[in-house]
Amino acid sequence: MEAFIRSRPASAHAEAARRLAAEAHFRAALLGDALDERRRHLDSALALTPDVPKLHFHRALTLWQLGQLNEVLPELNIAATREPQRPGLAYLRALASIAVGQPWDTAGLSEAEVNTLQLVKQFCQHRSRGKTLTVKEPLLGRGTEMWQALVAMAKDPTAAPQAQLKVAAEQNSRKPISRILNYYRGVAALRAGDREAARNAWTVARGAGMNSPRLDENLTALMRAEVIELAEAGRWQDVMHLLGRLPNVETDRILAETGTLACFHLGYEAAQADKWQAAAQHWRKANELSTSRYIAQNLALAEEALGNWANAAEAWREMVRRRPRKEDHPDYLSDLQVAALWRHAAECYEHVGQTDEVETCLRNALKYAPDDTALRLRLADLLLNQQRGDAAETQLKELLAIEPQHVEALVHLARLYQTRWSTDSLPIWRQVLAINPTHPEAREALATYYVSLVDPDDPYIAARLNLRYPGKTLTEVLELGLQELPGHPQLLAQMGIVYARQNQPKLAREYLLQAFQAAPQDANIADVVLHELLHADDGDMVLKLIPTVRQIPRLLPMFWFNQATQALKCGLGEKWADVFVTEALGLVGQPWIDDTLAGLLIEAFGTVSDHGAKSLASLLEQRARDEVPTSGAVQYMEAYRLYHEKHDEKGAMRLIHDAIRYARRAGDQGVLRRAEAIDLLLKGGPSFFDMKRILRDLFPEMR
Amino acid sequence: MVTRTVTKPPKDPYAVLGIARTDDEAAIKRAYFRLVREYPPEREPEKFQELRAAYERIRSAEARSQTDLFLLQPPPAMPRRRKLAYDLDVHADDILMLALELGLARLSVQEDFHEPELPTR
Repeated sequence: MEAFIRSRPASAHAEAARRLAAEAHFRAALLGDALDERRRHLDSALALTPDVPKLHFHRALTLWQLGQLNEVLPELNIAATREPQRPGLAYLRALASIAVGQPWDTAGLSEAEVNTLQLVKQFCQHRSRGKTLTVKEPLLGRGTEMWQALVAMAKDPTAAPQAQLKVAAEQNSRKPISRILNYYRGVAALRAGDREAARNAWTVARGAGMNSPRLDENLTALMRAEVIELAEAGRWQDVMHLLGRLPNVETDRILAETGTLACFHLGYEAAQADKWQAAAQHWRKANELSTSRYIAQNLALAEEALGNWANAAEAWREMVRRRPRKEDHPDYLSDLQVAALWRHAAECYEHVGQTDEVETCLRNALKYAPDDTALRLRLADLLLNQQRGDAAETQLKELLAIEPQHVEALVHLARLYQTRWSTDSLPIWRQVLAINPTHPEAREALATYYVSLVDPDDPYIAARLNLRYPGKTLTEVLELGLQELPGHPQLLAQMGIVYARQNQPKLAREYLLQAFQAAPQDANIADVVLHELLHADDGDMVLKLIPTVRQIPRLLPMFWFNQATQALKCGLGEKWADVFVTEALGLVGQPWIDDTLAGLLIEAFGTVSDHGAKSLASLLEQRARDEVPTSGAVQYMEAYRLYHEKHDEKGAMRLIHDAIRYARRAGDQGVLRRAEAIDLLLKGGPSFFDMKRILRDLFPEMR
Repeated sequence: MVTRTVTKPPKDPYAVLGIARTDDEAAIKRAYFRLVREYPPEREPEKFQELRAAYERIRSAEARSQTDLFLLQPPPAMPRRRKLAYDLDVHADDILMLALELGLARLSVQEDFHEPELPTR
């Protein structure tokens, strides 16, 4: 349409189009609610038809509602020039004149309009000039309550005509009027000390579209006063309830801070009552609203109490982030405190196995406490557990640079070096021994090293020895070891073995006895000493030592079966196998032995039979017949013989089934688990998992 | 490995010794020795252990700075807040607006809607 108007500006059609477009803008303006939009449409209409008085009239009203009071009167004057009789114009011109302090006349005004305008003028001059207020009826509006109430309130700052204003608002229910009356109803209520009524009235005024800074300020002041009073009385739950009913709490700093404080208090009360779930909820909320490190600290402790370790770690980290950085701040945290927090966060992550985070936290802790050796050792430990040897080595070396005598770090480093071909752990172990000569692991490591050099059964022993100790004999090398580790039982025992192999039984006996005396409760040493003494032809000494060996805590039958096996293997005679088997059987009934006599008898039977000790096997079988005839052990032994001597697998299986039946009936678990294991094997071989179970059943000590 | 073990925050050593968080080292010492006299180890070994453990955690400034990090922090008191003043006056601009709205209430917008006359062909 605009293009059409531009193309023929002077034509009748263009004029009609202009009027049509202007009317369209006019209607759009008046039918919309947004005042700015209304003004834009009216400006557009006036640009098309500048002489139309209704456009000036409505533009004036719009400017008034927009608060641009100085532009109102000129627009109304234009409208009055062109359409003096326009309804309402005289009243509004007079009102606009009063508003800008200009004279006005009563021409064309009704009595109610004149009275109302005079009252308005009195209001305008009441405060500045102290003019008295006089209500003269009739007045505009339904009923005179509103004017009487407002006049009373203006005259007397304590007047609170709530009832009158309520009636007035109900009678004049058009929103733009009622919202003003409701606002003053709220003012009257507050003057009377009724906060609830004030809040309700102001909320209604706001809901009806009142957009006055005074209303906002009064509402904020009211809410704040209520919240502060509740908070000062320690009624934190009520504070939260009230804040929950208020809009835009977060935009008011004081309200937001009071809300946070309420959460802080409620959380603390809950924690004191051991209600950690509630405490955590309050502090989580407070933590979102506040940057206080104390809230983060309490939240972290609550999360820990609930076992929420990752959350706890996050809260500790948040606490670190929130710390003040200026040293003169009262809440400043020293480097050691920051390190302690990082370390604690690491511990939280450890609970949930978040090793990446553990490492990050430990490294952060070390930034603040670089000389904390315990912390560095912990990081090294973590890295070692992750098979990150190089990184662990770096940490251990840094630790040792701080504290060269740190035994644990040395031990960690030595262990790490032991796992590599390229590094020698011996110097580190020697360092450990220099600090603590009795350090068991270091002594063991060094002893093992010497023993490995002089193993008489090693085919490469000469080359190995020559490489390390050229020109030295086996005993000379062991002497070196004993100089370094005086009285070490492993070295003494090895010396005994070497002398026994060199046919020097006297020296062998001497060293073996020394080894035994150095470690009478060490089963490994006892194992070597007993066997090697038999090689050194000192059976009497073996018999003498056996009572002491029996005293080794929690000694298992397997120890003695092993002695028996070695004795048979080395051809030392069935007599010794019998001695050792008897010792094994003597362990039945000891509290740490989870086996039966019948079970151990068939174990012993199998052990001696495997090494051809037939007469001893017969004795054991006879003992089974005499002492545990219904345990199934006899059937088991018969099955063993049938299978190994007559290769009768079927017959053996039948007897094994008999053994199982007997064992079940007798409740003999020792026979039962062995017979069931054999049954599985005979049935076609156990699966991998069966094999594991069988091994576990047969050797409970392997569990 | 994921565990959900729970730990209660350690006992508040200040509460055990019956002192305030803000008390100085001398006050801590005084409180400790007073309580030890009250609960001697030979008569009240458990209570003594508790007192001793609490004292050890806060006896020096360094120990205290570490201990405080892992204790529940009591919330601060409500700070003094200035209450905002209300505006309970009757304002002329509200009266003007009321008078304006009363004037507008009598107008009918519809009456200003006119069909423009269009030229005939």
